[in-house]
Amino acid sequence: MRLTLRLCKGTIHWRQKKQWEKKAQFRDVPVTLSKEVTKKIPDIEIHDPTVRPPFPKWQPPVDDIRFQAPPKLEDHRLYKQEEVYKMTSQTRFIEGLKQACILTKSQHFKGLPPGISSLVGKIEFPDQDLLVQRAIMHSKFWNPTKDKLQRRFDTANLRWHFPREYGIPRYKGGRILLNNLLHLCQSVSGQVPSTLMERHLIPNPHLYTHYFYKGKMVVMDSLQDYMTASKTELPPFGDKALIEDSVNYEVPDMFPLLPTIDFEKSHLYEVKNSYGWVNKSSTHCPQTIFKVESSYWPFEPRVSRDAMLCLGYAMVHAKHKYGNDVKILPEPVSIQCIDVNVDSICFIFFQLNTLDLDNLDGVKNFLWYDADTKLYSVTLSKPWLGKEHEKTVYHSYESGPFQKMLATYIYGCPETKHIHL
Amino acid sequence: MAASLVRSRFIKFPPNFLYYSCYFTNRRHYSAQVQLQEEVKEVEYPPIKPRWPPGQVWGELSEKNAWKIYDETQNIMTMPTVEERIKHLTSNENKIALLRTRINPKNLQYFQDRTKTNLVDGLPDVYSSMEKDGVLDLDAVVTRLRPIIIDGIEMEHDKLERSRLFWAKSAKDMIATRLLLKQTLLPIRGYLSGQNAHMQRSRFDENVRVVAFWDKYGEKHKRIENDYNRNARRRRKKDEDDKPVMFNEPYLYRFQADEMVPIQIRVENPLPEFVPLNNELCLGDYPHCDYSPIVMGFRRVKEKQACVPGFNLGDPCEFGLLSILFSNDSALMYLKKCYGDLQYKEALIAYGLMTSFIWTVSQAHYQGFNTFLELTYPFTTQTIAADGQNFSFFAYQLNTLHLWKSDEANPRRNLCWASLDNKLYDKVENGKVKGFNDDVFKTLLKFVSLKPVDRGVDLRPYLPKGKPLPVDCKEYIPKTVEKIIVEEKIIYDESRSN
Repeated sequence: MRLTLRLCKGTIHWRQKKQWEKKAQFRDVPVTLSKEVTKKIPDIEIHDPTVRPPFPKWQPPVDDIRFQAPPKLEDHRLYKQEEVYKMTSQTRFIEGLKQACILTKSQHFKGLPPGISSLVGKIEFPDQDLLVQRAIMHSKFWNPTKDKLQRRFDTANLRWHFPREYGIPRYKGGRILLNNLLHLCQSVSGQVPSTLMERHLIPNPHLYTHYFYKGKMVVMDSLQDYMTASKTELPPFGDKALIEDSVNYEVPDMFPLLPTIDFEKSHLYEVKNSYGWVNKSSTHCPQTIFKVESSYWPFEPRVSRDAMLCLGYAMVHAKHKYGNDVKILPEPVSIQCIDVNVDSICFIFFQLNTLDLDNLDGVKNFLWYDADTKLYSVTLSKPWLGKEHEKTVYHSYESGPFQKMLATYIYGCPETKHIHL
Repeated sequence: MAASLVRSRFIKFPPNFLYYSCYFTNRRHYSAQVQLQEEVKEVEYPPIKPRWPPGQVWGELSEKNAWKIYDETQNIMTMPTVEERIKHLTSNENKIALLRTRINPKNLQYFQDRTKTNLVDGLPDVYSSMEKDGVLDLDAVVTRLRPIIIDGIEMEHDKLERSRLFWAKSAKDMIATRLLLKQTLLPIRGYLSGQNAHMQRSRFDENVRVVAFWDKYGEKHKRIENDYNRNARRRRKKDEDDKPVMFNEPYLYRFQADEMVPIQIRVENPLPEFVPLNNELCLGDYPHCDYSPIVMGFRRVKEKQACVPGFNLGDPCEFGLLSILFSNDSALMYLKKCYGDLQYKEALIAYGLMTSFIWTVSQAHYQGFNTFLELTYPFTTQTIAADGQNFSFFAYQLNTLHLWKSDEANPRRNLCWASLDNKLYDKVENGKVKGFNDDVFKTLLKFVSLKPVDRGVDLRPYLPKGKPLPVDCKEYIPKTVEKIIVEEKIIYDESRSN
């Protein structure tokens, strides 16, 4: 017998039958009369015996919570008539960095700002690489949680049946890694004491603010993992000359689409400007935000989301400092963000120069980002290729990302002035 | 004759049975030649098995069970890895007694009996000697850290925005205490890690599972006759006719306890021992309560046995420094509401005692010890049960794992120190902390900063030597890519010849 392509495809007939059963549409056509009958007897009425009168609506015998109708949206505590855009930590921008730059009116630079790049690798502690590797191993293998993980599949061989895996879920792994790396950063307090004495590490800070973009309100609501706050602000990342130069810069355009396309429309919101504190505290200047990312997003949506969060923090601080009607700030406000994933770290640095965000002319804000920083890489197992490929291999560890994290953690301390020189 | 006739009805012999019958019998061939054997003067008997197995004092155990345990220990000694040993011990699918803390009142005495623990008031002498030795300049540390921690407590009370986190009433207390304890612990740990290398290398974990199993001697199964259970009695009578009623001999009864520890800190080396093994406290009496777990409100179930000390094998930080529990746990608060303050305190001690016992037992399993292989050095841990304001401190020392022996055969006891009701501060008024207690803060600092020691003993005496320890590993993820080279045999064509 000759093996044709048609034969190799298998039983199509059976599949077609299944499809017919599931997806075919059977229309219930109403009963009609032919023209000949209607000509003879024009006023004829059709009585369809199959059609029955509708049942009366069931009324609950007792007044109980189980039988109550679902509550209306208008009765909600936070309901307002005006519709606004809402941004949470789950919003993903379709155009990525370009869209974030338009919304924040900023000029973006790749790489670390000059003040921080000079600090990288200057401060070290013994067995640094070993301890970072231990932190990674802890987040991957040593924690005893055994949750049901997603079933794996490989595009190279779709037919291969991978066994179910139990282990540490993605979000928990990221959180463990962040906890461990933060502890290693804190352990520098022997060399740089002001990281511990003058700063305060706050777990789970909450941001809830709003601002107006072209006449419409955008509400930001997000919960972070950690935040460092201090009595003094971070020194600005860019000089005054750079701010003056930014007048000539043109923010890229995304014409057919509006930049607000990805925001959720909502009636439930509050109008308030809060960045973590209810009452006034001695440490009230936000400096660094730490966030754990559990999704499989690439770096661009992560960076653009974090830039918006940085804008929120900087904006509230500027409004508390200079009043609500300020447009061009007398001194810029700068905020940095560290976004940790299971295998990578993103660094975002934001400097707020203006609050005039409606038009794209004049002075711009600044955004630095360093995102292609993987701690390690993995070659996944491919058991169909042979015995050698049965194990997943972790390799090519890089010490750079943690050194950058340490530099961002130290930035702004008075002891670092000597290190610059 | 009659019987043979009856039999022949059922078993039908073939007609030529007589012919084949010669094959059924044993045929022997004799020959005339006989070999002459030399006479053996000394008669050899097989070696007599001694009544009790060597090496240990077996107490009230019967010979049969003692030999069983002896063979089991010899079997376990042949297994080279910890994984294999735990897998072998947990493969038994018999029913086990699950002990749950925080559920029933008046369980402290029972837990003490099951874990063979002696309760001591106050804290061990290690902490009082820390100040005298001058290991840690406590006053300097307190003056540096006090403002930071007071600031954190004030923030957590009414300065920070927590409306999103406290969306549910039930979850509010637990989350609030977790945040408060983090605000107090993180600065202390950060400061000490700058000074000490062991704190920098320590491991911090949240919400980890701690499970352990152990075997206990002393619980007898007695048959209680109930009038209302007639069917059972009838059935029992039938049995009694055949064989006499016997009390089950006390043998290995397995117990297991399972806890989720909110916060845990581990280190590379073991903590110093609080009391030497030959001290009077380690040999003292302990409260007895040898009832069945069913009487105390627990169940015997077929559940999967496990041994997890909060981490998987391979972690270099194998010894516990500190575990932190919540004293305002929802189950405990319900117990307080139902039974009052006195029972709550007892339950709190039981909670601290059991968790520290489980943790030390599971740590010992990871070092190669078992219920059958006795400890060669004591395991120690510290536990704190707190709600942010009230702190209760526990210190535990595990001296023995041979709990299946009678008290006379094994005089060692485990030890637990406890001191309750230590208030860190009185109250927070108008956003300011009032009545901050420095003594409680100092004991908290001592607990966190207790230094692990190199004890000078072999930590893994029952495991094969020569294998690298998890602490010795210097590189987990290599910096270079390992290329997989697949070697294939080259087959030459042999038909051709030069």
